[in-house]
Amino acid sequence: METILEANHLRKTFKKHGVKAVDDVTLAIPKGRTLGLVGESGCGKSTLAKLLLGLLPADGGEVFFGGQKIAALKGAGLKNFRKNAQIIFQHPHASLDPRLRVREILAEPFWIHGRPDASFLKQKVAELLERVGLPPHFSERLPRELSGGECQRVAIARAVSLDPALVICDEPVSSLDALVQAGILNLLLRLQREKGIACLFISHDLRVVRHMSDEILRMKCGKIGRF
Amino acid sequence: MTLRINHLKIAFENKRPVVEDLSLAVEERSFTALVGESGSGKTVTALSVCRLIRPAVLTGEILFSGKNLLSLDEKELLRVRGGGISHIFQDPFSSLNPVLPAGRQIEEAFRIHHPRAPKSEARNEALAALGDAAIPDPERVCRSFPHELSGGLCQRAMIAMALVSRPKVLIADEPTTALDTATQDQIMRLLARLSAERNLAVFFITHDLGLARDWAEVIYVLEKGRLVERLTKEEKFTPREPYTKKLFRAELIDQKPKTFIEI
Repeated sequence: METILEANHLRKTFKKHGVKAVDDVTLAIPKGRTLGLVGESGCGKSTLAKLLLGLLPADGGEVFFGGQKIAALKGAGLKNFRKNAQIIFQHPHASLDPRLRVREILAEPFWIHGRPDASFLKQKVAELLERVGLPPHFSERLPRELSGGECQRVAIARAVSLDPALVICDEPVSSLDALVQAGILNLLLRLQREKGIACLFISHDLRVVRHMSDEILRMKCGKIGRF
Repeated sequence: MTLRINHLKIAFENKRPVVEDLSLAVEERSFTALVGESGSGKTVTALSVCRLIRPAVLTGEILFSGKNLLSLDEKELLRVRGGGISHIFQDPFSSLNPVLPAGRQIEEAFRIHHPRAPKSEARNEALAALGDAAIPDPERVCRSFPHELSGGLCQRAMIAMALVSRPKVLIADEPTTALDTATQDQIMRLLARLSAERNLAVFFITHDLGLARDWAEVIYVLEKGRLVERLTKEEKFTPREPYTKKLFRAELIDQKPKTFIEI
């Protein structure tokens, strides 16, 4: 099966504490599929997510995205990678700029990747809100006027706005209650089916990971085991 | 009967009440759960018991050892807070004072109820309470500031603080939500053990129906401020109300992987 992202022997040590957060991790995410990653708090899941996206430099090993080594990417190549590999974080309120309205949050990716005109943006924002099940008037709201579940829907809309090939979901439902959680999981499954997005789904909750994934890896003290 | 709430109504100013006609009972030594979604009124209910939310208008009755807490004056209430009923909260980091060592905060909780007790006694009580909360190295935790402790240890320190005044009822408002599953289990075990050994009634508030089902003897289900169902030990897996059934379905997420959850 064709892979979208591959990591070989990734390592990351935080020198101050001497913690091997990620220790010789090798994994591959097939195109359009979901790879689940479970492990308890502090086992290195989020560090791994950041290494895979190049948000944190690795001490060793390499990551390939669509056959290209991400550490070597620069300029337009790097921008294209950023467009195609998105992330949804655990704390919805902390991952949205508190001073921007929802429409600005959702328009920003288009600003960065092109120079769209106002009517195009307006239409895109409306489309995105509809796709994630939020009413149109939410476009004028600020993050603090949204509940946790609504914020997470905005974060998801932002992540899928540019039709990425891969979305890393780092504990996307961990701070939500069961009903809201079920709604968000349904939304992620639906978006994935519509667009064939590949996904790395990270959670400490095995039930959630089992629900979402085609294949599951377990992480413990920075190392990966198969499940 | 340790704690009984009769027809409680909670309202803020002139707005629509957030909790209406809530009646429930927390029996001696029992483990009782209150379950509901975010915003259903669980936390305001927990806080109302000791009248910890000032702007709220409370009507109805909250009976604790023969007294109606809603008609007590502030001075009498102070004896109940901590002395009769203690609280622990969801986020251990934000409920501990960041500039005081954990031990000092536990001593303080003891000395409020024993103003004449010497310092050394307060220290010993704090250490003993930390031991009761199953902390392996009480001396170290006593000296540590909250930021030097893990989430699980902070929550144990909170439990120690709640226990040091020897309450009859412990109100635990989402005590494990901020913790990972392994730590969650340890904390729940600890609460269950304390309930049995210390004659403590635990009133446990959570959005996690699974957790309530695993641990509670009686489960009350709250929807938008109204009680919809009371489930006893025998009925735990067979809810009758549509809302509780919906909560159950949302929990059953890993039954059919990669399918939509019916909610």
